[in-house]
Amino acid sequence: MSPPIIGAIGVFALLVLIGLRVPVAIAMGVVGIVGGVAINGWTSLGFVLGSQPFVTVVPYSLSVIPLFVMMGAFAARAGLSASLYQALHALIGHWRGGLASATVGACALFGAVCGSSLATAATMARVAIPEMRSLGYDDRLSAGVVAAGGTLGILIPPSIIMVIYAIMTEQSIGRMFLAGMVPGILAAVLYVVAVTIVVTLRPAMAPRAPRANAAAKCAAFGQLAPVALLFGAVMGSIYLNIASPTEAAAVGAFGAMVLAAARRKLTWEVVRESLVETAQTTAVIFLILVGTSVLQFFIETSTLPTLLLELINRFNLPPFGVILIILVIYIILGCFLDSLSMMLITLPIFFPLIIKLGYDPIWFGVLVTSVVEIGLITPPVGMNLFIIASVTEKMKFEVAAQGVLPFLAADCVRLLLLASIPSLSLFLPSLLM
Amino acid sequence: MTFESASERVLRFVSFAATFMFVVGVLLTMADIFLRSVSTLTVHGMVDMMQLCVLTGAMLAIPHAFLSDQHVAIDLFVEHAPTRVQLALRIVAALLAIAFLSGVLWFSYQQALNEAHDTSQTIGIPMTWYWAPFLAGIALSVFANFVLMVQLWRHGLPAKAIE
Repeated sequence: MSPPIIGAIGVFALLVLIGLRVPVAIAMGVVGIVGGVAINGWTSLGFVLGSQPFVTVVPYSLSVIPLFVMMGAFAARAGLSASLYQALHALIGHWRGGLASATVGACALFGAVCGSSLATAATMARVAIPEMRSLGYDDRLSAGVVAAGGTLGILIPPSIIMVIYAIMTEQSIGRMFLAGMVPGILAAVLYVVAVTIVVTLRPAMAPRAPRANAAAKCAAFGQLAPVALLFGAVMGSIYLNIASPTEAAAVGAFGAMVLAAARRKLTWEVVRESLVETAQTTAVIFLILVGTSVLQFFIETSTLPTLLLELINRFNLPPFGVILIILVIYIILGCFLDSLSMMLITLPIFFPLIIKLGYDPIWFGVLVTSVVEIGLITPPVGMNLFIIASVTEKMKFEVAAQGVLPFLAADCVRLLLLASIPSLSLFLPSLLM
Repeated sequence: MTFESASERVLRFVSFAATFMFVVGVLLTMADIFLRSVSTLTVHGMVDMMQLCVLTGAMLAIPHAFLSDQHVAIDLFVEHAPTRVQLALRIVAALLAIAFLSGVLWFSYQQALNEAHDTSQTIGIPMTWYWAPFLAGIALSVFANFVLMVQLWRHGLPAKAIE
């Protein structure tokens, strides 16, 4: 049997194992070992298992992961989400659908200091949905906008998924973050457009809130300041070359702790919960990296990406057609897999292909981040939908799934824009770095 | 106290204790940035120490994540299967994890012995200091999966999974 065929069987076996509820990292490792032995023989085992996992988890660049996770964990418990929401509520809440738009804005700003979509969705659901309900907003709109807004946490830097993509593909984390800025803002704008269209077609879904007075509006700006400060300290220190991404992440984690302390939220319980969350998230990521290291060696030696390239040449597929096919594969996988696993399983196959087709790896990173983020709101495994249904009283998963449809349409528009206009992602990095 | 609950407590404690390595990493980095900005001093060997802190924190948190079912696994295709099938699949998954992680442990241990006299690049920390938390994390993960198997065998699926 030829190595590419073994590679293809390996990918199929991997999906079967994952479907049978084997932890993704273990499934990757087991398939990597069996496939690697089938292609390279038993002698390769010592190299693959003896050095690859350790070499993968020891680099300094990985230090950035737990630090950004810690920053998000403390930021989520510092009460920043409520302040952001109240601020935007005061500024634009009186528009029709204004609370839903304020939720998008608050999610975007909170995502800028949190970096995790699940945390953004969970915290914003607790803050925004009761408020929207009290004003008579339709549950579908409230849940949909929080679920979609939550995904902005992945796209708007600093983003954990972007960091992992940059490390796995040896790209600059700073360039990745810059490349995510415009697409992140574009996503937020398109979500607001989706809200506007929904409330224009069905005004009863979103009654107007009373207009805030001038004093409340002034106070709103003050509430935005801590987040702007934290975001500015993290991103500014990277782009002004004051700090490396790891140092900036440490500044962010420390800053989030100080903010929590300043807002009198830094109790022993908050410290314990934040540290446990940091440890658990980091452990999950590191174990997946161990599995990926073994799988990657197998995929590389199977020459599966080369076979795919030959197939593309044989069928004369245009490069953009290949990109569209990859995006469709990601959207389908996103219905069943979580973002990180999906990205790490597919990167060893797709990344060499993209490079050989001559595409920019940073642009592809933004595209991958955007499309895996859509998986968070596509049923049946849309994690944000589950989270909203579980943290909100009397909210059904089906209601959230219905409500998210207009935002999924906005996501598809954004994806097409990003795929067809690479400069949307590459403009800022080429200008500033 | 049963074997399973005692093991769970120990692994939870190890995981929690390891989280402070991240805090040490943050504080060292802040100290380094502060010193750099007010003087010509730096924390010598920052990169090496940060690597050690993060590696230790992350690897020692992996074992307990198996027991608390934190590692990413997809329920979708098996959640409606009969309880017995789900139980069998979880035991098979734990067995696969034991097999894979034991392989990593054995071959990594051999590699660690080969690198026993190497040191880190900046301040010459012995590489065994890096290998130790890595191997400990993997060994405890093998143990955690063994505990998980015993737990599943004796008590069946956790209540959360049956809901």
